[in-house]
Amino acid sequence: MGKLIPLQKLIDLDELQAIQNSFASTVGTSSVIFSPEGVPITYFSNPTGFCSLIQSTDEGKKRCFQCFMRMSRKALKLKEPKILYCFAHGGHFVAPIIIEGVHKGTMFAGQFIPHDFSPEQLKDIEKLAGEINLDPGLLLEKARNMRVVEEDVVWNYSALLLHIVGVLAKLGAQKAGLRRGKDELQKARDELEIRVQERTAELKQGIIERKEAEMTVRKERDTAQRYLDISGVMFVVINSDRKVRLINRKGCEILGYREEDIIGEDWFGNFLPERIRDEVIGAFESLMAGDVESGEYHENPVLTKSGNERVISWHNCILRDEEGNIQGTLGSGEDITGRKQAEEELKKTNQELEKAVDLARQMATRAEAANIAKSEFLANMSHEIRTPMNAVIGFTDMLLDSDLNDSQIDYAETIRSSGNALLSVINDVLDFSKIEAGEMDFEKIDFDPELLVYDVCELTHPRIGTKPVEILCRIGNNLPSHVRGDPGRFRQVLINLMGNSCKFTESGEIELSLDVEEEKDDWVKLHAAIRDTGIGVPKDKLSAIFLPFQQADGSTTRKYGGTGLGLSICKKISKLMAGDVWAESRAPVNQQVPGSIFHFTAWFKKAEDKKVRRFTSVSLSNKKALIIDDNQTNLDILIHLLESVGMRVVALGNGADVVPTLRNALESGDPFDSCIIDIHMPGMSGYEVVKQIRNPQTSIQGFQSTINNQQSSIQSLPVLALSSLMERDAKKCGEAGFDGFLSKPIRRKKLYKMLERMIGKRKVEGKKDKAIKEKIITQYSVREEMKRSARILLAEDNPVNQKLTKMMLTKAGYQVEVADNGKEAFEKYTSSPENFDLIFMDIQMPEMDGFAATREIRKQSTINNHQSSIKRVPIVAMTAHSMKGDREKCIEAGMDDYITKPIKRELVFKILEKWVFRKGFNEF
Amino acid sequence: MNFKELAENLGLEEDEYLELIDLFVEVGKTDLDKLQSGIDDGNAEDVAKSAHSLKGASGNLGLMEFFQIAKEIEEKGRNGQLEGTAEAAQALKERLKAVAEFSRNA
Repeated sequence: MGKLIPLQKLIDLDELQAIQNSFASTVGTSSVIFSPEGVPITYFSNPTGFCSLIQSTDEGKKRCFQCFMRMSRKALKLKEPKILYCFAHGGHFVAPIIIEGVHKGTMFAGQFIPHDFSPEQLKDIEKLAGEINLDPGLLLEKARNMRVVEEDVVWNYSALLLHIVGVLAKLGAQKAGLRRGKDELQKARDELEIRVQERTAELKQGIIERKEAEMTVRKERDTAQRYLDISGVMFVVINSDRKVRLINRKGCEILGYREEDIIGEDWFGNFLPERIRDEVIGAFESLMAGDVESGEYHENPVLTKSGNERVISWHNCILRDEEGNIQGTLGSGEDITGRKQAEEELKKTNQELEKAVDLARQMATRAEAANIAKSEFLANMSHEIRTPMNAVIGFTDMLLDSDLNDSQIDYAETIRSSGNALLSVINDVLDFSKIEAGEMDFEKIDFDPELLVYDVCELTHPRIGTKPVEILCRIGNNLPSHVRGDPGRFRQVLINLMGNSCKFTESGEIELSLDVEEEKDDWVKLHAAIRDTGIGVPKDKLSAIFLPFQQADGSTTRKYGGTGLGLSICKKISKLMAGDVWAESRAPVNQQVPGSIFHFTAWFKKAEDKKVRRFTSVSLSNKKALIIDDNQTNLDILIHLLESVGMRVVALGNGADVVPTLRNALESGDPFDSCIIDIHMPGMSGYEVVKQIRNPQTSIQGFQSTINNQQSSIQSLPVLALSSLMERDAKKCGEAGFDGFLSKPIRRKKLYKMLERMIGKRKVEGKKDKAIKEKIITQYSVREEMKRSARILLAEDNPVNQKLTKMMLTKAGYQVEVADNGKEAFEKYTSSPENFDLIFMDIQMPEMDGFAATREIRKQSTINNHQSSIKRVPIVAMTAHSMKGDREKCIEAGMDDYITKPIKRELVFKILEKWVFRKGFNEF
Repeated sequence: MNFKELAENLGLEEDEYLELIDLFVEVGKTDLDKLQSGIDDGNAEDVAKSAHSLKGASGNLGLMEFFQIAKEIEEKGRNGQLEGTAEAAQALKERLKAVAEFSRNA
């Protein structure tokens, strides 16, 4: 029965369409029914803009229908409904309609997505648009408006719809069965009249069945009506004449009218606010004209009986009669007034917030500007104060060099130390304002961190005064001999932290240790720790002390003084060097020694090993110097400093006179040995002056002389730069042609060392090509070269110890020559004594032990002493452990000192400083 | 024996340290032979000398147990008392072997 009859013959399609439409309008879900051959047998009810657009091109429609068929086959295989996703990522409830075991068609409901399209899906859709000849932008816009519904919700609605379709189809099948029975009856009447009675009875039976079927249909309709009534969504059918044909209970509730007051009334004239009426009518008319299949989702208010407005979110679609003529629209609407109000309020709050943020931003900008102005002012002030301070300190130094009685010395020293203290406060303030203004810059020069640490310890020493405090220094064995960075800043932090420890330590010790913490490619992270046995820092103040203008507590400032800027500057400098400064503290509990450890880390670039050059120093006595500075005070200080080591000084206040003065001196046969120029001068700056000196034209121009000795020519004159500014621009000075650079206030020892170094270098180099420009000398490189130039003879027989010691010394940057026994050491040294600055001598050795070798060396030099000027070489014994009497034996044999094995780097340096550097360079 | 740590203590790279260890093993064998013949001949001065050399090298390399034993032998040699030195020398031989083994596998 009914096996060959297609679904469209079984079901009243209009009825089916009406049910589909009412579903669409209440839940917004579209539906369509396809024949098993893949042809739609009902219209798409309320299709989404997205799907309609895809189906609007031939290619899109083809793909869409092919996909529907695929999904249909899939669902058929399962013999049950399933939610499937199509090629455009849309979701569909796909249900095969099976009547009496035969597949009659497939229902598709949905056109939904459970979540907004993902970015990947949107990318797919964009691609799809190109393939089906659509504007990607348009399709993406529709995709973004795609209806989002949960799968469960779609499933429930669709299952109900499917049930209704199933019932309708079953009824249809029964009806069809009846029609066929009627045909057979007709045939039978023609053939066999005698069976009329039977046929009549059969017919009667058919009438009963039909009535039953009609009853069932009515029942189903009642169910649909009930469904509409309990819906939480407004539901309105408007005829093409704009009159309301149907409204559900929710609709009446929203509008505040009874159903009979609405039905038959003009919808637009009565239930919409006047201001939007024309626009909505326009949209309605274009629906009626069939321009579009369904209205877009939109929000419009309705006018209630009490005169208020409610905002409704609408879904509209067209209703057609059997012939497909448009009859009106069916709209479902949700009351979103509450949600809208909330949105409005949120918007308002957001606007207020934005206003507040704007105001805050303006205030911040103003505050920042004020802060920069303050920092600039501080920087200027500091500079203005520094200039007279130079004079105060310089003249106090001069005063101290003159004949004074004890109390006068005391007064002058107080002035000097107070001046230095004031200078350091000013430096702090200047640094702080520089950091605040973001103007602190860092140099990149190679320096020896080991030497720098010794330097810091040495400089810190005077700050202890008479307190029983010992300063210790520890150098990690892994410390590279050179790193590249800003030695000035590194030193500044160390000095500050050490100074801090000195201030707060009354007795005990302060230890500065430096080691490598981490290495990465070309970079090395150094870690300095300053441990003291001072008063310590309370745990809760450990981080506050690094804030500007803060000390552990207010009374500290009164008792110990200080700006409270030092640690904050240290912290900031460390951060700018990619490191940190922090503190830990031990409280004085359980009889533990209290104290603090301050840590400082910073990253440096690894430096290449430098070539070793021999350092030759000369006496400054009777050397001639030309000094140029526009400031008479500075000139007076310089004259005093230079004359006190026996130099002859000519002072100029103006850069323009420099070259003529140099030329005159050369012509008169008493040329200058060195020149010191202030960088910052009005008129001709120091840079310009040195450029003029270095210019070959200047040197030769108008100067016809038989003296063609390069050594005394103006061009190769050693020139030292001086600056009272905080600029430590060594690089710029080097490029301009300076040989050395010193910053004010001048430390006299440094000045002397640099002059010795420069004049000595010139002497050695002689006619060397000036194009091979030497690196500029800074206060750091002088000591470094001293260290690198130290050559050590190592006498050690044990191959293991020999190799280990040589490795260590070489790593630290010294030059090492090895002798396997005392005899070899003696031979090596006596054959070229000028090649060695120091001998490390093992005691127990075969052939000739350390004592014997030392005695031989001493004997030999006494013999030669009257003919050569070779100075006495320091010999230092290396002993495994200090045995009683060893020291006496060493001294007796002619040794100068001894060192315990295994050798430590810092000890080696101390020995060298004591026996080589001090002797060689502190003689002036 | 953690060579890496010992190397770090001396400020050396591990392979530099291993080079020193190999040298130590080589020189140590000769010293140990000398020590043994000194003990066999009852020559206290030779015993002290060779033990001194072993002590110095091992101490520098941070091999403290080896150092301790060599130090005791040296002191006994200096005092002319060789009792127990044969056993101690045997202990040094074993330790040197262990160091050699360790270095090979490092």
